[in-house]
Amino acid sequence: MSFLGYLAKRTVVLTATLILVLLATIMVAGGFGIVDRVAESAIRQEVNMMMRANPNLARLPEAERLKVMETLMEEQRKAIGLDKPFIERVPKYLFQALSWDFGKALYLRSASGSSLVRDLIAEVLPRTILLFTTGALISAIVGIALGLLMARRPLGLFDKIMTAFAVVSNSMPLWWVGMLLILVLGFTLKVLPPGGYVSVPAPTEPVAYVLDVLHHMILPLIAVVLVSFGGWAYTVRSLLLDTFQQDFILVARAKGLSENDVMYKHALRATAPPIITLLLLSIVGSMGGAIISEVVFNWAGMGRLFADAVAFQDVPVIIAETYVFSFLYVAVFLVLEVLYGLLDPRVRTGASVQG
Amino acid sequence: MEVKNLRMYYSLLGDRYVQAVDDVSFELHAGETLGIVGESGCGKSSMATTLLRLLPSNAKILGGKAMLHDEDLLALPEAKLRQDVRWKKISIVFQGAMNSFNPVIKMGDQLAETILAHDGKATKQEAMSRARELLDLVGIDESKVDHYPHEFSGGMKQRAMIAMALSLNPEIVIADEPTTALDVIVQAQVLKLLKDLREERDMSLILISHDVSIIAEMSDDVAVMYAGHIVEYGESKSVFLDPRHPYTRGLLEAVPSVKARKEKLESIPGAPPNLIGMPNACRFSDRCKYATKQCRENDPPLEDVGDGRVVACIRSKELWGAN
Amino acid sequence: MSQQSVLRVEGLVKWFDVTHGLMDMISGKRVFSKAVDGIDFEIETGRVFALAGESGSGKTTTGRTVLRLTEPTKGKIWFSDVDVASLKDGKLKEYRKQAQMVFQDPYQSLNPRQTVFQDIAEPFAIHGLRQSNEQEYDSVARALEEVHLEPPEEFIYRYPHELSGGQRQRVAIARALILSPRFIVADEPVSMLDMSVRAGILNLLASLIERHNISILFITHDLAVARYISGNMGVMYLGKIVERGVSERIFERPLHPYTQALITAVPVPDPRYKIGDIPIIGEISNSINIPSGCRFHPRCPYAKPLCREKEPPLRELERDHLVACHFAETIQPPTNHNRPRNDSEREDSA
Repeated sequence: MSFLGYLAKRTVVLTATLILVLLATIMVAGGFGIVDRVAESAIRQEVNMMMRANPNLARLPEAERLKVMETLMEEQRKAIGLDKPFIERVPKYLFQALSWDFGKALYLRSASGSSLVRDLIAEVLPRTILLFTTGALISAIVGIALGLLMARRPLGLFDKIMTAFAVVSNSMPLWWVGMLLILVLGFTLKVLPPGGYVSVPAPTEPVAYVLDVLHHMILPLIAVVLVSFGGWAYTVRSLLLDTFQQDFILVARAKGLSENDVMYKHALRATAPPIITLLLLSIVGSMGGAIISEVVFNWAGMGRLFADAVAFQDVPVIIAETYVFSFLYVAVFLVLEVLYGLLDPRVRTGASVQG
Repeated sequence: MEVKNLRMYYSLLGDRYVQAVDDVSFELHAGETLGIVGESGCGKSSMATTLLRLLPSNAKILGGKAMLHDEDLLALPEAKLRQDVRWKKISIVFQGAMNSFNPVIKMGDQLAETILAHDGKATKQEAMSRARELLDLVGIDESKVDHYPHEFSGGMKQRAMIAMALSLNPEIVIADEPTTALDVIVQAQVLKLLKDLREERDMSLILISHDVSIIAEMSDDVAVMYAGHIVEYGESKSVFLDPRHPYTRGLLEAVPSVKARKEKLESIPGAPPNLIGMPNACRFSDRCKYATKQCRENDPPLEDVGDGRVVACIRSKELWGAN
Repeated sequence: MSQQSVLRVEGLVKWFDVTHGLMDMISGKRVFSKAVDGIDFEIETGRVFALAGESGSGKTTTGRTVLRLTEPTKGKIWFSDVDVASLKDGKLKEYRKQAQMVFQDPYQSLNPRQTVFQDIAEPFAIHGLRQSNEQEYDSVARALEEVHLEPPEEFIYRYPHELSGGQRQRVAIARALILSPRFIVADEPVSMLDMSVRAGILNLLASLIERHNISILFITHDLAVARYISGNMGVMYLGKIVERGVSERIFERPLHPYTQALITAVPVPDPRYKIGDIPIIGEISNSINIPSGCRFHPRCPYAKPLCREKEPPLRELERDHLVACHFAETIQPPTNHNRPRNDSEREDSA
């Protein structure tokens, strides 16, 4: 099958997956009545505000007032569609989610003051991607380079030291390392800002702003890389050693290729598919762990927002974030499949390894 | 090529060795096929990788020479071996071509690689057109250069491997179990291909196999290996029709033939030894029906029994005469 | 059905569903690998029937289906008047006591965590025939003696990794025999063993047949072995038997072009006889896209238009020798060198 054909097929399948995931999320959220209760209380709030804003209504006797409230609420419900059973509303929710219309947050507000969940997320998402994607990339590059060196001389001194280090560093929780670094570098030595993603007050000039953010990124990056590169190095080393056992490596040597050629032209290319898989999965995975890490570093990204939303029980935000995370996963999977298809031709034809 | 007293051991943890190739000597004549036959664990495959020095890090060449045109291959510096000898003078077809190709690189590129690696002046185009020629030579459609290894069948892969081995027109090709895992008919086709190519190019072929029939089919001279030693060596016709070593005789009596009417076969009792810490005795003595006390006390050297035949057995002349 | 038959297979079919594309699955179009596509054969008591063929011929699938390790798609498997193709549960288990299997890979067919004793005695537990420890020990020891792993005490508590390939295969055979089955399927039992060891296992099987009157379905791709061990044989190609009959006769006078090619293609341990030219072309097709008419016609040097249109039935050309070819009478078999092993040129002594 041609590469484009493969690509088209994967896109269709993954889009279908995404819609299914979305549907599942909506059903779960709605099935327990959460969405409805949230909407009810939102309506009640709205109506209360409307009533208070209108002085005429305030003067009415109790019973009358309640009746008006009911009518207004009924109107509101109809407007949103709450009068219809949940099942009928599902297509509407699906459509809303697909067009990134998440409604309004209950309590949280974006920096610009908007209560639209979409705005909230749009504000924080780039920061998370910036920090964690960069972190994953740096860990991967450092890890791959070290893994290569380790595989060159397996069981040598360098290999043994790095392996020990990898085990130790991988076992350290990011939040603990983070806190240590903040204490040492942020407070004791005062060489780096102890938290946040930008100084307060933030510089207004664009270039200075960017530099300020990057400055704040250094500490969390160090923590992220420190904790991840060891595992990367060890995994790459193991994958390479596995590849070295393959017959075609012996053939490459027999052909008279230099060790460098054998390593880069053959071993690395054959090992690239699983490495890319790991890379992409680790990017997405790290975003999932972002919640605690971002709180530790006070990095105002998706994770921090999620933590705040949970604290305030701001349900619309929670639901929206869950969806966005899923979307990112699926999107990354699509990229992964594309890259994998490019790197490993066996996947395109659905061939088994035996051939 | 002349190999003299080659010794290669693999070292294991704690001062122990696997005596894989133990004092092996043979001659390879131009334009002829030398068959090396032996069962699993006799050291024949180790010998192939030793000649090209493609050994793992725990393998040590402890002695011997491999003379090719007055140059000892074992003494050459690594760089020279890589540039001048590997694939250029001696190439190798491995057991199981299934995995001999890198699965993520196109077949044509892998064939062209040999040319590009050895000839600094060759352009990519030249190398690719040569790759196409090579595939044609072994009966594979030229368009397959753009395909990946997994799109080739088992027989095709084996033929492609042979094509790749010939890409630099080597003098010697070592084929280690080239037809294991191939079906009967494909095997016959591959063997015929090897024979034809060898004749056309006046190449020398070292054919290594555990299958006595294949060796009988293909070789001019034969060396029988057992437990790291060569136990019998001579012209193929003589060795097969008039074997002078108990192991060779036992082996031939144990193999069924598709053309022979039923007669009882006899297997050799016991199993080949593992090659660690071999005692100073004939290594076949514990399975040999002719063994005497002397056999168990000394490892017999190869003795000349006339007509270019050597046998490592002290009782050979007594039992079966000499020429 | 002859009185002496242990096993009779009628119209056995085994198709594997290999539909895998998403589109195919949705549209309901099914793709089948027709591994076994209608075969018949019979095995008499105390005889060895070899099923010979290359990979993709369906011989291994046949062996597994006959033992109900896979479910047959169609057909009957008569085991002494009982159609085992449709047995279930309790009756099926009964069948398993009587029909056993010896596998190809001696390095994988024994549980590495069990001793020889545990492996061989396991069938007792499975079929609820447990006895006292002493009795079981005796039974196992006797089984080991039968397969010439003597003295049994030396082997009985060893682990598989302490045994050679040939020894492991003997343990596998002992295990297959422990409940005194009437029928054994041996799937390439010697192809992974060293050449000098094979004869021992083959001779062992032959002697066991004589002693216990067992029958064996011997599956192999090695024609030399087939000739040595079997009395009758069937040559399979792409799911069908193309030639069937007395083994010696088939080797002396192969009638089907495929059989002829196979026999010509096998090298012999005698440098005076070289393989001739093999007249057939190409490689075996896969079992999904089976050629029309005679399955062999795309590769057959004698193919005529009829061969593409009509599938030849298996018909008897001489007594006990059947072939599935439209033109079998007219095809000249290649010159066959049938010689005894011990040649006049070679001296034998001691």
